[in-house]
Amino acid sequence: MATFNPSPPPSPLPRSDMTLSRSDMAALPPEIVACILALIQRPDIFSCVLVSKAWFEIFGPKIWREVVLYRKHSGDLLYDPSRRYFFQAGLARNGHWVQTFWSDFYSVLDLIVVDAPAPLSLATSVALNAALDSSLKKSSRYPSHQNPRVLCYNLSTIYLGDTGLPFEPESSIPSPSSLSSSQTLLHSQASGQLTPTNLTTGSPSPDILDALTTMALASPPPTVASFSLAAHTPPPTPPSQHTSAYQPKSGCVLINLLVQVLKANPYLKSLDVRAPLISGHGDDWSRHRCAVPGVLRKILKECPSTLQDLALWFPVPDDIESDLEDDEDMFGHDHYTNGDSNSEDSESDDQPLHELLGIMALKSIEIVHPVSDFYLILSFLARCPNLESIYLRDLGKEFDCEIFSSALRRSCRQLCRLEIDWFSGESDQDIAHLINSSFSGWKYLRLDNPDGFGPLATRAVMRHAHSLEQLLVPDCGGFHSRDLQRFLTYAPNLWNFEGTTSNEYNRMPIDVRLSAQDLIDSKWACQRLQRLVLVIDQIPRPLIRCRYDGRPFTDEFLPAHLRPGHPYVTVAESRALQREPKFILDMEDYQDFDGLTHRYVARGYQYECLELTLESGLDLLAGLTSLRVLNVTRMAHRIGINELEWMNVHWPNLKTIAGLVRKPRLRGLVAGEEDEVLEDEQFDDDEGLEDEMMEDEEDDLEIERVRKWVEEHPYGIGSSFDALNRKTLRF
Amino acid sequence: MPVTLTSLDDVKFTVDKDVAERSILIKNMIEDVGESDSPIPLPNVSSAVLKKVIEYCEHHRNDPVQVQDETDDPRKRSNDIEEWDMKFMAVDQEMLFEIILAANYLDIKPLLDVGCKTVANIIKGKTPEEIRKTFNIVNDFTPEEEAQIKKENEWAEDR
Repeated sequence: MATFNPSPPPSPLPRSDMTLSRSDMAALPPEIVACILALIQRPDIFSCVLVSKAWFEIFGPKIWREVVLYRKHSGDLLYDPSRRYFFQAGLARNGHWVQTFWSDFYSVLDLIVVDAPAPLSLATSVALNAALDSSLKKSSRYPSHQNPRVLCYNLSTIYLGDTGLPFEPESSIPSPSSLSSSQTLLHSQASGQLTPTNLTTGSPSPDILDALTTMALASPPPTVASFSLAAHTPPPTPPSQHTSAYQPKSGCVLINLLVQVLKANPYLKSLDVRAPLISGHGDDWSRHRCAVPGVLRKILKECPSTLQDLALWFPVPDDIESDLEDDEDMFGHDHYTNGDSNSEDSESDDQPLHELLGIMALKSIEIVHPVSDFYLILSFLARCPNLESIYLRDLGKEFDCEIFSSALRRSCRQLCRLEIDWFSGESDQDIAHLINSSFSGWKYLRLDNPDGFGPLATRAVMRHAHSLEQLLVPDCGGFHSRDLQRFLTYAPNLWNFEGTTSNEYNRMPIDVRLSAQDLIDSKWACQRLQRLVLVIDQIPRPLIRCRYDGRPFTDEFLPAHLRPGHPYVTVAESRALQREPKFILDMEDYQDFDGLTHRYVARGYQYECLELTLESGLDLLAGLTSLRVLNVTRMAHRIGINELEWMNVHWPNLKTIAGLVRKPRLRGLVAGEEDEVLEDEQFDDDEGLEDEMMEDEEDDLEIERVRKWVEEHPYGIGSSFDALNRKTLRF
Repeated sequence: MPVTLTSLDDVKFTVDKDVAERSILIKNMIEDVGESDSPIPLPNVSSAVLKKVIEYCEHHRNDPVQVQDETDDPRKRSNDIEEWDMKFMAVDQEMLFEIILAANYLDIKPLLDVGCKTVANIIKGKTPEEIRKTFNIVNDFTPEEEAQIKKENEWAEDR
């Protein structure tokens, strides 16, 4: 047995004395350590790092491989000078391990670029003092970035999100060089010797903390055995709060930081920035706006050739969105280059478009900005021959769909995924052009609420019927039922079709629908259809009666589609499992429960829709002989024993009815039957039907009663309304 | 047919072939060499450890071949150690690491997994000082270094 020494001597032993022990983690081969690492989580790894130098070497990289900072952490790091300093020190030592830098607080970019004095390695105290002197003499103007140093240089993924914090324009940033909050020299030596350190834990000296950080990192990065804290490191904790509060950077500064990071990371694969890099307040906006093409170009120019996924979202603050219409005459690109004392490439704005290189590796791109330069983006895309996926949004008036389409057809022949959000008045022709922009055929096409969708666009979609695997056209009014039926007949590879997710009651009439007969008679080419979200009509919807506290409620109060006579509308989801088409019919009321219905319920009304009863035309669905799952969890239904028996005869494969027992608040109420005490019931017969109906078990008592009732009435009669709606509604 | 294994310290163990073939290394050796009476040398494994490993293999001699399910979340799996395995692994730290090393060398994946899980469970929820005590590790950081590392990695402490 290993000698057990509960209280090791405080003075460290020579390293070799420990690592040679076979019982130490350090003796394990790396693949075993990796196996152990996969089993423990970050807080435990943090403990491991502190165990010993050998363990630090093993576990340190794991911690730093993915720097994931949520907003709170990001804020702490940015605003707390002490934490900021130590994070940067750690980053300086471990930056080479970092592969992913992720934060939903985009200002953290500021953490990984530091301003270092010219000679970095082997800084002597003389050099240090000189650096300190010069940094102290520096004007208050931020930033200098004379010698920007990026602490992470092996990144493969960068994600910077937007927290929506307001940011001041650059000019208003007060002095203290926010690049740093304390100053130190992190000094590493290749010699491997531990130099004595006079780091103390005493009280800090705020004036020093105010000075510019000086960080030096010898390259290659040292191992733990060779790192040392230089003698000049000031006591870092706790800093005085008032002296060096972090000041958020303006978008201009952040763009320069981003460019530095891009320059330093030649192997980046994924860049995702969703931040107001171009920010502005009020009058400044027009100037910022004119800078957009330049900024885009600047970023695109610096994107490394290994980049595969690129997403640049530049949201616009709400209050200035309305000002975006005019102001074409200003070309004040210098606004953002002003602050860029390192902008040797600021002239790039004047370079012709053809000097913008594309990226061979790029596979997917999202560029979202209301004033993006159409021709800039187009010329960039045309130089990315392997592009597969494009996300567009809010195309804007200068967007020429025809030119865009022909350019993509010619240049990006691998394109197979297209997503467009926020159509704004595009014509049928425009949409058709966009759909026609794929040379090899789309596999994935999502057009969100395309108002202009019409015959031309329909024809364009038809042309891609053979390649399409997923077609999502939610709320697409122009896609007619007959075309849909035809499309399903022609699309052999389709497995996902979404025709509606309507959730606003004042929408235009939806035409992407199938009649129940279509659904039954369909001879579709798509044998692998897994998901079909559609409106099914032709089933008459019965009278709807809403009640408030038990009193009848007049129909006029209801939106048109809920009035009697409105066609019975459901969303059906069908899933063909493997070869044999087996349907899952997912009935849903026309209204989204998070939308209108919820509001209705919340006001104390309940509506009921007697779907799936024999008198409302259930027998129209008799042909769905392969139906396996019926989901009525989101309906206030009335499925009585008559219906169950009918289903048992006509739908022999039905195994599950989900939602016969539902949340009390979603239950229906039938006029004229108030006195009846009715229960939900379960479809449970000799064929061993699965009992999956207990979706919501919040009401155990109720469920217990239901169970009891079902036991007593295995083939009970009556309707499935419950008695709970006479009680106080619970929300 | 029995197989004879020779440990580092030249102790001979005779076990059934199906027990020995829990080790992929030995299985491959037997396949390569063919049936032979000569003992198989295992110069990386001491007799004490080999005895333990054989004990494990005897107990698991009838286990089905392990199927690799990569989809499993490894974090979830660290708790599902069989009771027998847990008792089997209740050894001192040195033996634990020796078993892991031997399992790695002999290519006995299930034993290696159990070993890793055991180590992970030992680490879980412990402070650095507790880990040091458990593994009998001397803290070779200077206080300053320790403070520095603690601070530098503080951002990762909770998530």
